[in-house]
Amino acid sequence: MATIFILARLAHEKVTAEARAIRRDLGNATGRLHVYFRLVALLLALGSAGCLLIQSATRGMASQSCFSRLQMVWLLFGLTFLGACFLFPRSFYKRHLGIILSLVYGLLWGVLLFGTKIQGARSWYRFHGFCMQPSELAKPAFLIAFAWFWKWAEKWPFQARFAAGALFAGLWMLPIILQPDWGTTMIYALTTLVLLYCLGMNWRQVLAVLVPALAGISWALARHPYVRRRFMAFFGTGGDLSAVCWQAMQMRDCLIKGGWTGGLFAEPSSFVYVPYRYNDSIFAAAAELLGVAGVLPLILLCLGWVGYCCYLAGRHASRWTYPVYLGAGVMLSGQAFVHLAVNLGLMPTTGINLPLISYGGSSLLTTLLIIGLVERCAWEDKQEEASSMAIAVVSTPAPREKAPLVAGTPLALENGE
Amino acid sequence: MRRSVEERRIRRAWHLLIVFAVGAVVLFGRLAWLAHHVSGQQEALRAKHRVSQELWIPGRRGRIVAADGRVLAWSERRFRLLWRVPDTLSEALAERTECAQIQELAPLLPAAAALPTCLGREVVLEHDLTLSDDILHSVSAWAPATVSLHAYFVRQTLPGAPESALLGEVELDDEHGLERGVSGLEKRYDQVLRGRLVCLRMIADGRQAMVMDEKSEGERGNGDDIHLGEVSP
Repeated sequence: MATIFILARLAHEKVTAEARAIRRDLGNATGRLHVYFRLVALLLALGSAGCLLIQSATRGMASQSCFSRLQMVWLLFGLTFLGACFLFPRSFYKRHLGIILSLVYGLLWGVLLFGTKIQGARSWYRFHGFCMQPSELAKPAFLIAFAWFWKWAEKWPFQARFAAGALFAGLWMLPIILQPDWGTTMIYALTTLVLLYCLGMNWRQVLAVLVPALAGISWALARHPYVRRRFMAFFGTGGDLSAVCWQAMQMRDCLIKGGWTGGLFAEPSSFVYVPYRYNDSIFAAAAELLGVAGVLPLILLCLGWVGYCCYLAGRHASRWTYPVYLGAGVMLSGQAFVHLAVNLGLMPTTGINLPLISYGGSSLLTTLLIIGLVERCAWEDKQEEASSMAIAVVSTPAPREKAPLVAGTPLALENGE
Repeated sequence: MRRSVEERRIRRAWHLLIVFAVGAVVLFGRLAWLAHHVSGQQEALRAKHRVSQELWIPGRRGRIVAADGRVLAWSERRFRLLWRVPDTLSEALAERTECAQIQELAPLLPAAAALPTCLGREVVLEHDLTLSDDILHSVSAWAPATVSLHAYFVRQTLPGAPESALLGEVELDDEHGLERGVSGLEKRYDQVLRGRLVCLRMIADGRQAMVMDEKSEGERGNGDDIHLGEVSP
């Protein structure tokens, strides 16, 4: 009884201290709210554009409105989560990193046992019609964990830090590889490689990472025939590959038909023959509707996001937030570029969707969480920079007062008095 | 030293942006090339000649499995070979001659003298065919369009099993081709055991015929199994 009482008291004290810290931080929320509302307005506009695209792309399907309605619900839900992510300080994530990591990593392994298999990959939790993909939701946790680890190990020699960082990423990707979800694995691998490079990896270490990565790809090709078929279809080799080529060919037809200005109301549409035109092929469907002129802003937006993250990393980043900014930039823009490359026929089909635009609750939620995390870190970095500059100004010694000029002194004579 | 490390990090961050900028240029170039240089006329012509057809295929009913793993009841897909005899005798005789050239089909055809009684009707040539029978492939490849296959299910039970009395009977729903439990465990757990209709969409365009929404049998359409150790008889 005494033990239970003591544990309960400790838990109560911890929760009370936490609540006090959050209240203290929220008390100074005025500046943040201003930024938050601007962010919400922008993301709501982009997300709504995505819902409209989904609505148009699902023309002719039996469940046409269902996708766009669900996407709008997820968008509103996600903006609430973005608010929470933005309003909580990053020290909150640092303090509770153990709980966050345990939960997320547990979900990644748990899906292998309790998850539902859809299209060959056991990647989803399904509960009464509600689906959640833990490998997507693990992305912001991965960024925080990697950044924390890199800062925590800053006294280690670089070789050891690099090896441990690569091992950490490998262990994180292991349950995703076992699902198997090759598209998401590729995004994580790309993010890790870019982070290690930007944090100081040399060319020897690049090769040390690339060699096992190539070995992994070869293993995937040998172990999973459908992966091999996709590669062979892309390179145009091998027998009857019509099933695999179909999606790529129909996407190509959409892009050609769209031309420069698109055909928003033209019939018949080519995109009705494209599989997964509401998520994996949405760029091709959008290109047919809006043309090159209409989808060019999407490409510029993806470039703009990674540019913004690079700017933050270059100008305002602390040692903890530097990997967060770059990782967020690569994760979202890299995913978008892979999606675009697949739709344009520059890569084999991967099943990767377009962040913020494609239908998918988990992906939309993750995108908004990452944006919220980046904005919060940027806001705190700027506040710290501003306060450190203010301290530097305050602590500069006051200039000595000039001695008053007395008539007849040499200085007074010099000044003409 | 610290300053140079930070300067290197900042430089590498800008390298990243340059790589993405080059990628964006490549993507835009590809998009512009597809929009501008590839002729849209042939593509439009092919798109105009697309044909699509939907096929509804009934899924197999689930199995009833004993606690020790013996399969007590299962369904097998069988095929019935049908010939829609033409309305006129001359056409029927001509088609019969054409079908007789298929080695496996020849012995199954009705005699020429019996054709007048079959005109305009559907005649069963053979039933209880399975996927391993060669005649299915010959018919699919060579037979005229009036020769068709009709799929159905046959419910099999394990002979001599002590649980046989509990299993019950099924009947075939002619409209959908699905089996429906009418007594015993088959009726009680019909919602779990019953298969579902699967839609397979066939699309053909100027390049090739293609099956869209292709799903393997194991993933959807078939009913779920029940295990006697988990359910109360």
